[in-house]
Amino acid sequence: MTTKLSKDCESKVDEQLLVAQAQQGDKAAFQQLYLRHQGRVYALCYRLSGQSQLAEEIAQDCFVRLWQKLPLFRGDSQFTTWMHALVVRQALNSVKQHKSFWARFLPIEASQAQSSGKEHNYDGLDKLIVRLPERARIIFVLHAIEGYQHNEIAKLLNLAPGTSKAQYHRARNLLKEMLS
Amino acid sequence: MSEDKLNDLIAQTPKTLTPAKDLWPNIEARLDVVDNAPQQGSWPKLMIACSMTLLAVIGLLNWQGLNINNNQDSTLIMLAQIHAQHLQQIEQLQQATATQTVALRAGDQQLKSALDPHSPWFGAIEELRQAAQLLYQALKNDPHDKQLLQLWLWTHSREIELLQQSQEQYLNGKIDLTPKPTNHI
Repeated sequence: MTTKLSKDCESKVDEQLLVAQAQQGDKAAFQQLYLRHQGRVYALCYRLSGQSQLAEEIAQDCFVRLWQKLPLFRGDSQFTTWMHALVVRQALNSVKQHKSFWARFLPIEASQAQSSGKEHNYDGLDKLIVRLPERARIIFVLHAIEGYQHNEIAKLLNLAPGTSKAQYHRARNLLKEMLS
Repeated sequence: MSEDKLNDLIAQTPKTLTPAKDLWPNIEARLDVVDNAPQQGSWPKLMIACSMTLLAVIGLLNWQGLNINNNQDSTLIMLAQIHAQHLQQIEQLQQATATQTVALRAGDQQLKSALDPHSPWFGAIEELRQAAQLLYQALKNDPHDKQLLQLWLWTHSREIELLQQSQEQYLNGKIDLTPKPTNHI
């Protein structure tokens, strides 16, 4: 137990050091932060976008944004908390931008074919949530997996909290149908 | 039953997933672009210069408006000068775009600039150029048509705007390359 705690402390100190170095423009330090957090960021991007290729692009957007915003991190909260909030906002913006781009320039069939093509075989819930309608999926991911409250989701997505709740229940019902 | 199953699945969902490829090389290349951002300061200056030239041309045309009807040859010469000046401005913009495109391409093959034939910007700009060419031919036949002239000048300014928009979004690493609407003349 003590060993685990001391390891956690060490990890936090390391991270603070990496953040401080990255804030000074040290790309090697930023790469270390990327290596630490890429799995978490990519998982969020994949679940919000529902497509692996798009998720890779959005994850890149998130890290570029993080690099740009890093000098604004003052250490008032934990770095991971600050980064997560930033990544969620950026990922939602990117999903919107990428979707509107493809929707505008590709026929619907081509866009769907592209999204359903080369997908990974992730297990469990990740296999199912990509089949949900976009809004229901985003709200489900933010509430059920990322732990956001409906009023927080409502603010993020600029909708009423009731809509967030309704979409969440819709997503749950659809998932239950898939499981039955 | 499926309620429990779903709750179990949610509880078992991993916090992390591994992407199929290493994203770092693309990210690093884009950080370089962000780092080089101050060097892109020449763009606004160039755009101001282009806009001022266009305004000057419009002003000159208005000033000479009364004399245009009396001198067809000088009007045609002036049109040719405007055309040449516009082509020169576009060439400067494209050279700047090409330089930055090469730098960005090194990091991300998926980003497309206005110079890329597969970019939606390319199609929009090409259409505008074709329209401008048709207007120019029509103006040569009827150099005193003020509406044609205004439309022709608008296509020039719009082409510059589109190039600027594509470049800005490209450099910001955004994929939303949709040409923005603009005010008509």
